[in-house]
Amino acid sequence: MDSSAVQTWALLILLAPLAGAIAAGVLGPGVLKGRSHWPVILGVGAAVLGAFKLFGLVRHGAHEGAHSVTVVLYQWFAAYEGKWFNVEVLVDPLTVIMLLVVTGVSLLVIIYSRDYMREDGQAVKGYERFFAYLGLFVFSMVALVLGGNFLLLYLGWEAVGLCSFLLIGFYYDKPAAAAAAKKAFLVNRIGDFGFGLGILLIYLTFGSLDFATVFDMAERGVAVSGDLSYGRVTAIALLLLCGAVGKSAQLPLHVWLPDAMEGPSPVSALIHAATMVTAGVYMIVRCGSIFAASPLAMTIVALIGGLTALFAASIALVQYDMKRILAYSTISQLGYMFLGLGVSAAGSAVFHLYTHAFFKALLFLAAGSVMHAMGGIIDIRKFGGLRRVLPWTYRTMFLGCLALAGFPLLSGFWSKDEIIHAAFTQDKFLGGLALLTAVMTAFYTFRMFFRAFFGTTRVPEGVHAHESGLWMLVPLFVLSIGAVFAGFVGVEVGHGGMLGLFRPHGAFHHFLEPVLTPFTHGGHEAHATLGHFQEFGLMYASAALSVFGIAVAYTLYVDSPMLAMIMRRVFPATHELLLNKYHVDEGYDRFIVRPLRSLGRFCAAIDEHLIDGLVWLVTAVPRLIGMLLRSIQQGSLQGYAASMMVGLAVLLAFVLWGVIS
Amino acid sequence: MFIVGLTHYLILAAVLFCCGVFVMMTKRNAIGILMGVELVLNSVNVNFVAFDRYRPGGGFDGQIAALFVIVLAAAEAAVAVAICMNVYKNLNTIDVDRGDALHG
Amino acid sequence: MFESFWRPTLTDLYWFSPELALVGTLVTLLIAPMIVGRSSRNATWIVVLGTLVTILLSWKVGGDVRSAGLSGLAPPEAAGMLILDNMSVYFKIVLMVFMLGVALLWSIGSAKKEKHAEEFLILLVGSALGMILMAGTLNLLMIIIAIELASLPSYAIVAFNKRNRRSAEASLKYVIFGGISSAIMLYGMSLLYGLYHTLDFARIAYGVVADLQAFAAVDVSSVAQSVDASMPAAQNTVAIGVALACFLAGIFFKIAAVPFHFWCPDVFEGAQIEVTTWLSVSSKSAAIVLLLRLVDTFSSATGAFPGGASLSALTGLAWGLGIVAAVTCTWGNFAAYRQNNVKRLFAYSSIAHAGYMMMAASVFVHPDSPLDYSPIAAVLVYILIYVFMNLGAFGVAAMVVWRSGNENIDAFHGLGRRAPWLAIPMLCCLVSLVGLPPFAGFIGKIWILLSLGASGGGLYWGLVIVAVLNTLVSLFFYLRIVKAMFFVDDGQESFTPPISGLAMVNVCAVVLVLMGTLFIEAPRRKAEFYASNLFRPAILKGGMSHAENAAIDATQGELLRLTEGVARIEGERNRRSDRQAQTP
Repeated sequence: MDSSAVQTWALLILLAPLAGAIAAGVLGPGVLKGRSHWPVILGVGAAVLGAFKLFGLVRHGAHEGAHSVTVVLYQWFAAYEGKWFNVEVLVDPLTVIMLLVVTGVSLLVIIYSRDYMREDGQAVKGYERFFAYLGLFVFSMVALVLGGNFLLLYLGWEAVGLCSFLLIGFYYDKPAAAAAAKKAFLVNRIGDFGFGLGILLIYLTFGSLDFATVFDMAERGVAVSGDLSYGRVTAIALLLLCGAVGKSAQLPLHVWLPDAMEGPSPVSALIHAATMVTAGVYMIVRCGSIFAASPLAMTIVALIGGLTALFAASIALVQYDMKRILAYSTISQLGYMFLGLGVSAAGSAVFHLYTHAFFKALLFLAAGSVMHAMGGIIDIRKFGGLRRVLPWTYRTMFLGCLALAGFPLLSGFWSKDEIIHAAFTQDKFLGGLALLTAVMTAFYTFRMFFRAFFGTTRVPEGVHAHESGLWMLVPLFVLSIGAVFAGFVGVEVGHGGMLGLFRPHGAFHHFLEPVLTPFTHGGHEAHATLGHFQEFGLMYASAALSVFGIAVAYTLYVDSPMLAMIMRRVFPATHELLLNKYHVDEGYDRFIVRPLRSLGRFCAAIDEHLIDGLVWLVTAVPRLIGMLLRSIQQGSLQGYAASMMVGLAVLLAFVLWGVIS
Repeated sequence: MFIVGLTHYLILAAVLFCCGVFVMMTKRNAIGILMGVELVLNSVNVNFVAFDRYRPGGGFDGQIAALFVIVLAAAEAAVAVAICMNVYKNLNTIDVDRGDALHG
Repeated sequence: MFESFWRPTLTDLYWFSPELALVGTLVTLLIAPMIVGRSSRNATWIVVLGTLVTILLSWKVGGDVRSAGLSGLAPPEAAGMLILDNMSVYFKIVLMVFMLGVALLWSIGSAKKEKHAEEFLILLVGSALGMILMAGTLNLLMIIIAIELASLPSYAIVAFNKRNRRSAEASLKYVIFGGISSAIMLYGMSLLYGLYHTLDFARIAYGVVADLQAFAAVDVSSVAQSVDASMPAAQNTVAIGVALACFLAGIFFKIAAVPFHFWCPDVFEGAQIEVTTWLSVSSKSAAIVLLLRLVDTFSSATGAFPGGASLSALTGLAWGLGIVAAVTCTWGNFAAYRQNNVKRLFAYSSIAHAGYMMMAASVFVHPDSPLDYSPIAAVLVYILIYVFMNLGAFGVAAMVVWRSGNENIDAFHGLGRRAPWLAIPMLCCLVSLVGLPPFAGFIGKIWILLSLGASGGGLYWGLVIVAVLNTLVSLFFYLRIVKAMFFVDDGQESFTPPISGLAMVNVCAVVLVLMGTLFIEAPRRKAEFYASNLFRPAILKGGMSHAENAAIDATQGELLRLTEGVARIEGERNRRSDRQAQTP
């Protein structure tokens, strides 16, 4: 690959969104005002261009057998002589796919926000701040993805966390938003603490933080001091996993994501569905050589993923807040990706990440459109039958829901099926979890969809419901095209397989293959060992289950709504448990937050009475000396001159002492 | 016969220097202090010229330096006297220990 | 007879074109009022233009001079009055950037009140010229001329506010202490001249080291030839001690090192805030650069002896400098503790920072032993960072002081609310001044500490400890301002400062952040390069081989080719005829 071209375009991708953000932040309040979206749109647009260009370069490079290139932008600082930390970018197929997803979805979401962040045509308060944060987020996210060593990865990781915090709390005068922002930040801190320790351990183990060096050593099984022990690599993997679990909202650190829905809908679509939350998946794929070296860590990843998928899907069954349903669905889909990673089907996980970005961003934006039309109300009990009021939102959301539900031939179907398949090959239990989740997904998605768009038309009182403008609809159209067709890049068409036409593992996977060697070395050779029925039977089964889930939802919420009421009455305890999200938040509150708070109070008391006194004592010394020195400087010129002469004498004594001794 | 040598010049300069320093330390009047400074500068000039004269091989460096010192002294005196006048306008005195508004 | 005199060529003048440009600016400033009328605006533009030209020329000359460095305006075999090397070019550029900032601050501040006061700028440029010369010379006469050129306008500039009592008192104190210290310094110089019969500091350093070696009874064969035997070494040592002490006293006065610092807080408090800004960085950093050069010359002098003299002869000097640095730093920080006047607080803060820089400047290292972290490089980087920290902090303080007419810390109350775009850069600058990450001040301090640590020895480890403890102490008084800005609010009304001032302080803050995060290494590596290529006079390159001589000649030849053809031809013809004239 032409590394100077890579450098140019990578720099463009990095700097254009940053420049846009700065322009929006600096010029926004005074000059641009309601036009503050322009610099960010242009900046991110340029980044999209750069991402496509890089994609072209990488494809071209792949033909020549050069899959990845690391470009050192500049040497950053030296830990000690000869040991440099660089600002470097790593460009390979994985990076490029992530870049395309991140910049593409970002651009659409930013375009969408232009209208969303307006009320009656007037920009809302903090309009320029919103776009500046979005630009900053895109910058941080591409920095995370492009970063060529763990230090940059960590910086990007923290920076996206910060942007997420700022954007969740965008409506900071709303207490719920402020609390949600704080919660997201704190929960992420727990994960990031582990992540930070993991990076430290990597440095101690491998003596470097460069991806190239670290992964090479991990694959060869060597450390700075002799061989790499299994315990050490497992510890590193688990600490890194800790960070991924926090960022990608997996069990047990999933609690922040549903609350994060207090942020504006475009933020939910961009950060909390399509991009930032997938950073955990990206990181595990990137660190494949470390994870693959530890079967235990891989098993834990798979377990966390499978359980999270089921757990979150079950909660989504009974929620009423449209965005929360989608949030739990996101957690559940991320669970799928983790499951895929855990069973060494990293390609499928990245594929799912890619398709998920389309349909989940679409769903969130459509939900935002509903919310916009409903005057900020998002509770599906309060409105219904919107299909006539919001025809275009309805259509696009329908496509999004189908994709999420895994309806055959849509994007979600292909990627989800691959993961289910891989899970079954590895372990029947995990496969079962995945299948069960698939049914639930279809059900809760269409439960939400039918309740919102079918039945008699009801809108909340005092709301003049209206379809959104083009600024909002165009991104929806683009994303729905993606939701329907994006999956085909990962499917081989016309070479046998399902219906004699579709065979999984297409161009997408071949493109990614060079990056995924650590996972495939694990011996995942499923396709060679399974017969036709085993291989494609699952495909038919999951398609059938998806349709079944949709049918059940239709029966319960459109055909005979009474049945749903009865079900709720018959299983009140289950309903209650799910509605309260398994009481996880309460549990955390009782067993972690409150004890910590009492400890905090205890410490505060000590601090107030003991430490403050000590601090006073400590500072008393400089205060005293300060007063003493002040009193020396009396302002009298003569006195100064005398002290100067004394000083001269002392200096003389010193020099003479040195000379003579 | 008594011959005036380098040592004598140096002693003269040292005496001048001490006198100057003593004046600087004890005088209250700003002009007085400036005179002390001038004494020290003159001791410097004596040193320079004497060293130059008794330098093996001869040369001009010291004498040129002395000329420069004279010029610098003049420039400094000009600025200093101007400042003294300004002080006098503001404080009605040029006693240096009367100016103690700035301290601590 | 004139045939035998060396005459400068255009090339020789080209090397010092930045200084000439500055002189040109000065003259233009003096003449312009007669042509375009007295106006602060015009004068400001002239200064901006002149400064930019100076920066550009420095840049150009700095690029052409490459690594060798030269001692200018003198025949090739003699030691010149002025030195041109990367360090002097670097200091020129840094000082000019800082002067631009000060001129900008003045144009939005005092110039608004007094429409016709361009003399301020004349004095400013004059003192800047002096400081630039200070940083680029090793000749005693030039040193004193440079110091006086820097000082005289400074005295006047402090008294610029003619109707202010405090201003008058401050200038009186400044001029009298300045006079005393330069007189004492001159006395030291006259003794040095007497001892070694030269005004060239390189030869003096060589002689001093030789004498000290001889006194320490180290057998150095070359002593007898190099030093005149008319004064026995044992007597010399006392004279050397007196001379060096007096000489250093003058430099310490410019640095405001304890106990020669008393003028500093009083002058800073009495002067206008723009003047305080200017003095807080410029005079100190110029003196520090001079000190660096002197110390380096001493160090190199030890390398000039065959077999290599040990640095231990300079132990006394090293301890003297080190202890003065430690005391200065500590005194500055502690005395700042109880200050309420912001200018006075920053005066003590600047004393403390000069102390940090002096710590590294006091390191005598053998020129042949390259360290991982060169102390000279550390100081050069620190100066750059210090420029931005002080420009930012003083800029904010100036705008706050102008607004409220109050110079005490309570003028900052509630600044976070009243003018957030002042409070945020101020926060950055203050945290940077404390020396905490992620700001450049931290990096600057780290380089200094690392260079001290790398130099080894009890003295330097002691200095490291003192510096770290001092950082701790300084935290408290800087945070008092932070507290006043963000945690105390007595309901003063908010205000919008001038946009150019806002831009300046925010740029400073951004630079501090960038230098503290993204661009950590690059400045240091540049500075390391500058430090390793300091101009060292030929006499200090005792063991220089024939090949090295040839290499230097080649470099100079290359330099010549870079300049205009006519000048070159002319210059070489002159040179040749001069040599011919000298040979008989």
